[in-house]
Amino acid sequence: MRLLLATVTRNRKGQPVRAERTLDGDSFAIGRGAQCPIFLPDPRVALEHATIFRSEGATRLAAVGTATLLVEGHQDPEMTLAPGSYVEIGPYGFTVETPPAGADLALAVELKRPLPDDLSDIKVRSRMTLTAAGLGKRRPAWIFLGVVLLLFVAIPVINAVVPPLRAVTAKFVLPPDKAWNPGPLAAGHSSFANDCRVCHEIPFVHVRDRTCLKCHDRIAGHAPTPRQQAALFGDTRCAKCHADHKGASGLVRSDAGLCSSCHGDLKRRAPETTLVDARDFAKGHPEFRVTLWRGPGKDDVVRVVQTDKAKLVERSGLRFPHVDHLKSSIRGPKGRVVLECKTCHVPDASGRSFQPVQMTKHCSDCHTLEFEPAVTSRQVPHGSVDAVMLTMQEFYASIALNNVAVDTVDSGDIRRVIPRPAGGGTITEEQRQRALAWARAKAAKTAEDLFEARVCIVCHEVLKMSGPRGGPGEVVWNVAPVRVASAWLPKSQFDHAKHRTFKCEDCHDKVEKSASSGDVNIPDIESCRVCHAGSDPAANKVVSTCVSCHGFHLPGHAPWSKRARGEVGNEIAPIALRGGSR
Amino acid sequence: MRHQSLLAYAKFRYLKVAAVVLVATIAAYALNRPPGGRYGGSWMGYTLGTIGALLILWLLWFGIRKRRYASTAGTLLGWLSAHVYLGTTLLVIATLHAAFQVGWNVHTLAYVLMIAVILSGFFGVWAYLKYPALITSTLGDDTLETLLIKIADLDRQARPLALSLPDACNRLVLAASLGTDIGGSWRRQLSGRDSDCPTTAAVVGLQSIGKTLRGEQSRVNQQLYAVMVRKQELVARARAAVALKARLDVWLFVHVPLSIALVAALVAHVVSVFFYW
Repeated sequence: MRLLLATVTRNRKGQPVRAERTLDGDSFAIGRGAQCPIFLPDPRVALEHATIFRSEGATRLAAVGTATLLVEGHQDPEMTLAPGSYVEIGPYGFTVETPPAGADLALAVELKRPLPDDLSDIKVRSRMTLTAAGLGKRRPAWIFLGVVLLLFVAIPVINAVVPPLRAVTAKFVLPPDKAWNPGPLAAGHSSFANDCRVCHEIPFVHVRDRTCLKCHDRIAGHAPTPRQQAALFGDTRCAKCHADHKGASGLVRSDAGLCSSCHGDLKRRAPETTLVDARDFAKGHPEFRVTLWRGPGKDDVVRVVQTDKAKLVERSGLRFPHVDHLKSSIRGPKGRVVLECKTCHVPDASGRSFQPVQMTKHCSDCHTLEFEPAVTSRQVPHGSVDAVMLTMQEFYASIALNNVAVDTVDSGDIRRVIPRPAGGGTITEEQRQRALAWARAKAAKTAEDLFEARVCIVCHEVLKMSGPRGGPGEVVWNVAPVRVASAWLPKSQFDHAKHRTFKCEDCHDKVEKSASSGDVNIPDIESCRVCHAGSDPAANKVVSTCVSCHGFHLPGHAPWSKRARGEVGNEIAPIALRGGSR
Repeated sequence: MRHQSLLAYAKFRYLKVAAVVLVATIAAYALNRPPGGRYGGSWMGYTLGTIGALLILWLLWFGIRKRRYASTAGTLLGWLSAHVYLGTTLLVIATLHAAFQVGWNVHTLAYVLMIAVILSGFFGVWAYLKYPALITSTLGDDTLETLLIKIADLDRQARPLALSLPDACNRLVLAASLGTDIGGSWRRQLSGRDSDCPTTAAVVGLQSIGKTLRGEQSRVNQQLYAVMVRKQELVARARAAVALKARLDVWLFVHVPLSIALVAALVAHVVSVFFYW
């Protein structure tokens, strides 16, 4: 068999250029193997891809092994090579041409699909920058911008302006008002956390006082009268001191500046003031001034500097030497007892202070009010002089009237029972008068003993007066009112409960030796400073600011709501503040 | 011109500026004891907040300035040096503005975004100091382009050699020639590896098939194997260079979008503060 093989290539203009050669043989192997007569040097062709051979008068082409032929678009293992037929082997196309004379078969072969250019090919495949790999900056930036502005600007603003939306937005994972909340609200305000507009009523306008006063309308002011408050504070906003969103207890200012901005230099600001300048507790606080009652009125008190020992005397009207009661033990009606502070000073329900000491509860076990030595079962009542007198008169009248022959009665011996007159329950008027006269005389005598020598005088200041009420010669006694203070430093708040870890005598150290109820055993400022620092921390001391002991809104003063100038008019000149601008 | 590090620019001019800013900020914060404690709403808080916000806007301006090739307002290196140092001071300014207070709110969102932007910037500085030298040493006298040219050239050498070898060898070489790529997805770029690399597969395959070959085929196979090993080495270097470049660049894909997110959060922060004044 003779085969005319034309290898077609293309010149620069794309025109075919044929190189022909003639092959002789029984069959012709086609492949990329160099041994193949029809050599196709391309890796996409098998080593021995196909064979051309004659069979039953026809020239046929058959694929070898797993190689394939592509005959007019279909894969075929074998085909007949007739003029005009076309087959593809790998990237090569074979066209069967009409054989010229002397040849059995004419084939034209052309590389139809050359391999791509290696360099441009690997460049196309390779993505060597992150941008080429699909990472971007603009797109995520726009998305972030949109999401943040939507969630944290648009929705909260709409939410604030369109209240009906609140029902919906409240269900968000992070509701708009919470997302905007710069910090936890004070404990009392925490229930407003999901609705800013409870306090912030008007956008871009500060929280107004009237909003605060909706709830806090009764809060006391700082000065006694509205006029003084207006002069001192004018239109100072509540929120100037009470800024919220600073934690559960952050609403109350506790810094030293709160008070010392005025009280540090009060004399200059208000020359007429009687208050002493005060600044930091550690460095600039005046000596304590103890409030003592001087009478005669209930509220007639003086404030005495603790260092002024001469004036520092309590005039309570009570005689109570602590030293006699705090001895190791004292003799009582039921034997010896040991008295401690807490025997008489019982904490009140809060533990901050103490229940009043009461004669009937704390004293009367020992200090009985027996008036008749022969009859220990009877006592006079504690309290009213009139009641005391009446009790004794009744007692002695009863004895006198229940016995006859009063004139024989020895007033010094009431134990002697005098027999009743025979046969009768009736006494004469004259007998009755004599009996009552005796009873009055007896009562008067006993009273003198009681008030002036034996009983009342032990604890009270007793004044003997002649006849202010009764007839001439009648004697009455006046027991001075007892005004024991319940708080000696009423301008501050002291919580005994918080000082429970101490013993009473740690602070009230002179009580045990105190022989007079005139002694004032309130600890002085130096005692407090042992443990309490000022605003600045100090080693092993408790930081204590003004509001640790003092309040701003003082009970009993005009309500804070009355301080605005408009409510009191401008008729008074404001107190000159620093620089005299106000 | 002598090469100058962005950190050492102008004898550390902006480090000094930043140090002065930091000292002044910390001192002002420490000395200021506003009534009711330090917080963002005190006048010191507002002051630091305003400085911080203006600083953020100025830092963002760098993104625009670096594209203004005609600008004569300082050198770009100087701007970058200032950007880095003054951006760092923002960490302190913003923290003191907030007085160390955080919460689940838009204010802390802005703060966290700012921290993320600054930290990504720190990575950027570190990357700019570290990777360019590594890229140079990895590429040697080559560039990525010349590496690709060499790889393509080896492909052209390998294919004819494989023609006379068994189909299995030929397939491996063809796959390596047509399927090998450099880089790829951003993960693959950053890793610098391709676990499914056809060139590696060819190197391994040719070695094992080579043991079954004899005579001329064995000789050709050895020649082909040598070519493929050279290609594998070039491919690995190209991938390493791409990985280093990706690591040099990747932080910007965090830094830039988060900067924009920060601007949005900053707007929300300021609006919310004054809306509910």
